[in-house]
Amino acid sequence: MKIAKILGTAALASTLGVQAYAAPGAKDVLTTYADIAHAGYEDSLITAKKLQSAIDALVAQPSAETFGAAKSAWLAARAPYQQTEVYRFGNAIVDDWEGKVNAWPLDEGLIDYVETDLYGEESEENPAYTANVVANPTLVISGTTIDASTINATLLEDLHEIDDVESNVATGYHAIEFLLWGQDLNGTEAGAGARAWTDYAAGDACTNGNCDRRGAYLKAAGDLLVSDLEWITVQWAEGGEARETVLEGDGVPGLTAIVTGMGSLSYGELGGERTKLGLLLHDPEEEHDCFSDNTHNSHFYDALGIQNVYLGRYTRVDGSVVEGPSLSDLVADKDAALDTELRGKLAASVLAGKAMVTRAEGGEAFDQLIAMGNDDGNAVVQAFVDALVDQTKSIEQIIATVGIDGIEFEGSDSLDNPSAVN
Amino acid sequence: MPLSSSWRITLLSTAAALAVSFTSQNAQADIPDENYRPALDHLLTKVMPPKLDDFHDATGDLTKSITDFCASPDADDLKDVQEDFHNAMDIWQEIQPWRMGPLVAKGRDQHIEYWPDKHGTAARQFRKLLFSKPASYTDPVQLAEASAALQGFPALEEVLFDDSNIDHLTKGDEDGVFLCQYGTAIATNLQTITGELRDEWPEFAEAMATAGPDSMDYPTAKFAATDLYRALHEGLLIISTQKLGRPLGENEKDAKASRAESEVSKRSLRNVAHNLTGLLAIYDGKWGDVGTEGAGLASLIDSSLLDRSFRLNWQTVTDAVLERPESIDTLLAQSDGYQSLVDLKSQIDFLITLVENDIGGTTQLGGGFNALDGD
Repeated sequence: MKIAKILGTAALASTLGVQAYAAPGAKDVLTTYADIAHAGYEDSLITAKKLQSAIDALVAQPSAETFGAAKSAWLAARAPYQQTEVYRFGNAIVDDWEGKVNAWPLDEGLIDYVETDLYGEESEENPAYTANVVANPTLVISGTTIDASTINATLLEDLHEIDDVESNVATGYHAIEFLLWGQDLNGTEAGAGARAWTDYAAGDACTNGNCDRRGAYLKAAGDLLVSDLEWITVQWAEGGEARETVLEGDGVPGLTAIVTGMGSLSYGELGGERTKLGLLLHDPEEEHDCFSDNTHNSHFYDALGIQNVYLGRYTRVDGSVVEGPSLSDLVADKDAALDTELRGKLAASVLAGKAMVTRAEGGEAFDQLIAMGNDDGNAVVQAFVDALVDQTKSIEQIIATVGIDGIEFEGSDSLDNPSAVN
Repeated sequence: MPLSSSWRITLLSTAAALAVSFTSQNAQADIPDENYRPALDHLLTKVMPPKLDDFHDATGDLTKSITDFCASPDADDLKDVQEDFHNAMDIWQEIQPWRMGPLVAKGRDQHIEYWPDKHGTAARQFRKLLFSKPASYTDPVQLAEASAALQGFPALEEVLFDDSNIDHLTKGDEDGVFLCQYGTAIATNLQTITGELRDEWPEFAEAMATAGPDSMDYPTAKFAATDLYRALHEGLLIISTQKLGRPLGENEKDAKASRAESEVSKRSLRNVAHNLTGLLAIYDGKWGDVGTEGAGLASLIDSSLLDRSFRLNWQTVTDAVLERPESIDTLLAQSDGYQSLVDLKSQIDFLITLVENDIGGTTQLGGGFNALDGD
């Protein structure tokens, strides 16, 4: 913070490699916001198509190589998608849709076999807790018989959040993640899910049974992910509903969407539900990418996405850059000190996220960092939470600065004082 | 006993009468900052400290009784432990809504009671705990570093009230021995936390009560008083949306008592009654035999009509809670139980409206004020 204030806005902009635009209008800012959304979802689509191809190759010719390639493609696909999460809060069209692709947490026993000693065999809240679609051509959930003999996109869509239970996640990134990694049975010790490629093998080589149905499920989930991302990408293209909505009127609704997204993701969702809660419970089940142990990257890219929309700059997966007049320019025109402060805080949270990435790349994944007794690891995660809470306070201040109101950020029971941020 | 349907009419007619007085209130000048200070001083330095002493004493009694029980387990002694659990929970439920300062620092409120448990974490972690029985969970010092879901009242409730665990406890088998040691560690940890809370409160209270430009946290008395108003408002919101809303579900078919707070010990509505006691103290300034009537936020209300009607409405809702069974499970088992719970939620929601419109408006602590609007 002190460094940021000493450097001043211009110096920081230079440090971050960001073009500063002179006093833009709200419409200019919102156009950049929509352009970055479109680029982010298009990148998510591009990487999801690569994942789809890798899944097709795995199902067609199961092997350690095709299995590894599919997992690598999934990891690559997460980077651009997580940077779009800041669009979820404040844009109803995104919030209504996103559960199809990134719903979490999930009761994975709905999809496939699980280790019941730790997972349990039933849940009072979820009649489909161990329904195991892969193993059962006929399902009976809450007295209703479901024909699951053919696993396709329609079946998965029907099963998604069945019985109005949110943790019945049948589609999206995390369903695919589970099908590629399996349960992480290492608790807070080292190691991710250890599903073998032979879970997709043909004939006698098949492990854990129903390999053909498991492949069908994985393929259907991959196809659905692509079609869902195609839909949202269109919404942010020229003439798309999401773009038109943020650009309509006097700019206030659009600016409100930006600030709501930044604040809610920073505070209640990322700082609270996805990070602080895990720390409070020391529970690996509370980590976002719990099967693959990729949570450090998901959190880092979430934080980066918040910074992207404020600075009006996004680096695409091909290395090209989308940029334009930003909310930062708009705030700087009215309160340069506040803009400098927020830039500094956003940079700090990205840096705190990067610290988790560095620890994970050194062999200490998020579930180990939040482990009971790992005071040093806990401190790294807490620093990320603190940075997110701190930036939320500055985000709250720009509400008045840019002349918008009526904003409520998502809260979280797990944060120390939810009332500190409205 | 079924609630009279006339409550709604009574409440609504009171509110309508008050609308006239509000108009004049809203036209009044800003309340001088110094006017907030007496209520702050009274609530924070005179009312709360004796209650924190009571809470610490209650967890001490609980620790002693479970220790005695575990020395020689029998069913009668277990009843004594359960009674001490209820006593400690009663005072906790009164303190719980005062979510500020040392109560929320270091996640303390979550460590005392991790609820609601949206992802079923406690059940999963408890199952794993009984499976592996790690010795570290029988040491209160190490337990203090464990999952919040395994170190507070809900975990102890599971130990003391779950039928299967009661069986193990009274038999004194391998599981029972572990549960006894674990339960004792939980009670001891709670005693430690409540001791920290009691010890840290005076410094926090002094900082709030002496709010002023030199304070980074509380630059004005009004700013500090806003935290008390928020506690009153949020406490009611939590009763409505979580303590009643969660078990109610989307509709009657979706209702589940197991989603309520403290239903293993069958006291979910008893919790609400004690919440209301602690919340009313913020407004009234008197809490049981502690404090002075009218010295809380009520001291900022200069309309006796508004004050009287707010108290009347509050009493009506309190009576409605007390007329019902202590357990939502028991209530939902009655033929009109679901509707009765819906009615109760509606009454709490009406109190929320009164707090937002009447108390928040008249004290100038609600109605859009926030820490960043220049006040």
